[in-house]
Amino acid sequence: MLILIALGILLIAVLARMLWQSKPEAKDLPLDASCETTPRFNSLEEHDRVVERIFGNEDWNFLRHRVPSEIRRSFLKQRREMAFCWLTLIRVKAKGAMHHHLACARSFQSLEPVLECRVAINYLAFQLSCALLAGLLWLRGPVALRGAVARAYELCERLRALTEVRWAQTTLAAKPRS
Amino acid sequence: MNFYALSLWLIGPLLEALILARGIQTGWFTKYRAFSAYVCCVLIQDLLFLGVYFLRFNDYGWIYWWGELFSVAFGVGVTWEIFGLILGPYPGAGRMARNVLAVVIVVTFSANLAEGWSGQLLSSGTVVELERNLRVIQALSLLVLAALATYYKIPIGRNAKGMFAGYGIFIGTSVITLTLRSSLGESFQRAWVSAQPLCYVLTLVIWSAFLWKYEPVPTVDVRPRIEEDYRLLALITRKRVLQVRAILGKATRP
Repeated sequence: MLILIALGILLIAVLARMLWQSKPEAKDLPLDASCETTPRFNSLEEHDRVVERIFGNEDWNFLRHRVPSEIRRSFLKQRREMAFCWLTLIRVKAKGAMHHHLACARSFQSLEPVLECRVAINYLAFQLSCALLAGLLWLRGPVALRGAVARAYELCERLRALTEVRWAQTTLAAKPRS
Repeated sequence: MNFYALSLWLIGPLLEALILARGIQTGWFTKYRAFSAYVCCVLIQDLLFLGVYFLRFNDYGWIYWWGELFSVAFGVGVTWEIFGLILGPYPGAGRMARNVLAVVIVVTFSANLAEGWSGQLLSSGTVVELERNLRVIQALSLLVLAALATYYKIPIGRNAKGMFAGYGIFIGTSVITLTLRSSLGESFQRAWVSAQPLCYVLTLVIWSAFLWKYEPVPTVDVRPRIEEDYRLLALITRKRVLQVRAILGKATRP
C-alpha cells in the first residue's frame, strides 16, 4: 500500500515540477561538440602542471615557515577558490560531452539501451567523484587533500593486510590435519 | 449530496465542455484525437452519471464502476498519444522508453507474483482494485516518460505539457485515492467522495489553461552532425567522460 501511495506522490511531484519550471529549450543541448569540450589548456602536460600546482604542497611548504599567519590563511583561501574553479571547469567539460551525446543519441534509431545505460553510469560515477572531491576540498582544502587521501590509502592498505592475515588464519584453522 | 459535492460534480462537465469548445475553435480537436475522444467520453459519462444519480439511484453503483473502467480504457489511448507527441520526433529516446517500460512492467508483474498469494500489491479482487492496478501501470509509464524527457532534455510544447501534467496528476491522485479506498474500505469512502472530484477538477483546470490555444510541439533540428553511427558516438562520449574522470584522479593522487 505504501509503495503505491509513494508512486502516486512521486508522479504528482515530478509533474508539478515540470509544470512550474521554465521550458527546456533545444539550445540547452549543443549539437556541436567542440564548443564545450575543448580544453582551455594547450596540452595535457600543461594541464597536469596546473593540477600539480593547485593541489601540490611545494608552494605551501615554501611559505608556511616564512610568512605570518594572515598570509598563510589568505594563501589557503585562494588555493581553495582556485581548486573549486578548476573543478567547475572539469565539470563543464564533462557536461558538454554528455549534452552533445544526448542531443545526438535521442535521435538515433539505432540507439542501444545497454550502451546508453553504460554511458549514463559512467557520467553518474564522474558526478559522484566530483561531489566527493568537492566535499573533501570544502573540508580540508586542496593543500591538505593529498595528505588526507594518502592517509586514507595507507589505512585501506593496513585494513587489507589485516583482513588477509585474518583470512589466512581462518583458512589454516579450518584445514583438516592430515 | 451536499452543496460542495454537487458543485464539484457540475463544474466537471462545464470545464469539459469548455475544453472541447476551445479544441474545436482553435483546431487541436482533430490533432489530438485520443485526447479529444477521452474528453468527449468523460463528458458523456458525467452527464449520464448525473441523470442516473437523480433518476435511478439504485443502479448508480455498478454503472459508475463500469463507466470508470471504460474511461480507463480511453485513458490508455491518452497515454499513448502523450508518448507519441513527446517522443515521436526522437526515435532514439522512444526506443529507450520502450525498453525501460518493458523492464518496469516485467518487474511490476514479478513483484505482484512474488507478493502473490496474499495479493498485497496488485491483486484484482474487486473493481476498485482492478481500476487501481490499471492506473498504477499508467502511472509507471508516465513516470518513465517524465524521466526520459528530463534526461534527454526533450522540448515539450505547451499543449503536450498540459496534457501530460494534467493527466499525470489525475493518475497520481487516482492511484493514491484508489489505494486508500481499497485498503481502508468504507471508512475512507466519505473522504474519497470529496477528494476524487476535487483532483479531477484540478486536472480540468490545468487542461483548460494549457490547451486554451493550439501550440504544436516545437520542432528542433534533430539531425546529428556526426556520422550516423550510434556506437561510435557512445564510445566517444564514454572515452571523454573517463578521460575527464582520470584528470580528476590526478588532483587527489599523492
